[in-house]
Amino acid sequence: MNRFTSIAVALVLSCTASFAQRANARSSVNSSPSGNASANRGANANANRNANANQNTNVNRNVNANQNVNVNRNVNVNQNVNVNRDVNVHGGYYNQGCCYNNGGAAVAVAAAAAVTAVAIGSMVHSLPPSCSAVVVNGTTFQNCGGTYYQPQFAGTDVNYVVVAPPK
Amino acid sequence: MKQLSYFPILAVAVGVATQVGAQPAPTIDPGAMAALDRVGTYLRSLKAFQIRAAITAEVVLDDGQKVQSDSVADLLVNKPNKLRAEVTGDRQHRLFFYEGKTFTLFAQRMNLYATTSAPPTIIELAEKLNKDLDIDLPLVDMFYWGTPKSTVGEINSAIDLGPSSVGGVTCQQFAFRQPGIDWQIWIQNGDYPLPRKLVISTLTDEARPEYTSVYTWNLAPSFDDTAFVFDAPKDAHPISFAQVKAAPTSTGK
Repeated sequence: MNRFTSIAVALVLSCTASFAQRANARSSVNSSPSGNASANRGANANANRNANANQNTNVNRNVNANQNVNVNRNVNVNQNVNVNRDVNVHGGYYNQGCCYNNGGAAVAVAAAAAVTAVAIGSMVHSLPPSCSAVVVNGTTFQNCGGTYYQPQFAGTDVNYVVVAPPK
Repeated sequence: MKQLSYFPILAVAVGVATQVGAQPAPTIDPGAMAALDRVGTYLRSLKAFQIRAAITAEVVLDDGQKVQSDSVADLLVNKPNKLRAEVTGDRQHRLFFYEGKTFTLFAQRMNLYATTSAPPTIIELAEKLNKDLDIDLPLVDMFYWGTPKSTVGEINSAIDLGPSSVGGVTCQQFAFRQPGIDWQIWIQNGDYPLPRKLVISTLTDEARPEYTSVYTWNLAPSFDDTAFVFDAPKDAHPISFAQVKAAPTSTGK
């Protein structure tokens, strides 16, 4: 069980890593890009990395053929993990009626344990496994082992904000 | 024999070099600008239409590597205030509903949706989504061209590249430059000057990611108004839109 948990954590981390993208192509001529990478993506912090030096060297553009060696670099693999994200969540949701927890005490204990692990207010792009949907006052939450996540649209992406257990 | 083949290649190379060398003086071909105007005027004259766009968008990873992401956008429009869009990609499937009063984004596979109040026209909706919710309305250029809100005024280079075929349709290809982007448009020849293809190169990242979209048009769609209304499935969950954080980018509102 412990082992399973650690695998799951690793998965989540690799998901986050797959969002390490620094730019998207603009999709409109007339409308300036909305938030683009920064707003929606996980911690990037890499924005400044490339120090412009290359910009002048247009000549290099021809050399790109060699760069293709990198194609195998797993990036695509990670992106597929995101596909699973949709599916996982899907599964989480429809176990109909599963989600109204009456076992308050047990949940509270688990929550106390989990709060130390995941800070309230932090944001993730995918949920850990074994979550169940909870609706409190018309708002949807995911209860993942006592940690509560509130799904929201950030742009057209869905992400999850860690919240205090709803009452 | 070797000599013979060598000379034409040299000639071509010189030709290309001169063209590239001619870069500093940006030219605006009035014909190219007029063609763009014609597209705008024609698009504005359309009342109801349907577009299917086959889209390839490049994403730049942190190390500068570019990867592609494909999607298909289906758009049904009844101007000025009804729109339905479905965007199907490898990683995301989203439906957009706008019936003139509210806007709903629906993630069908995850069965999550969010609804917000909406302004009275599609173009205002596009602006609101862009500014407040970090959402780009699919194919939004189709609503900008031919209006005062279009950015044609920012174009600083416009050239006519001649006839080009897109999916068997004879078009004229044009290339434009404006701050932040180089872009090309293929406009259908004849009485229906529709955009058939659009390519946008983003210059603000040194990897210059590109967006390519090829359009199929239906100018006589059949539909009724329920197409624009979101009818939440029983087991769908309402969630909220994250508001765009004002802090980092906006310079005064």
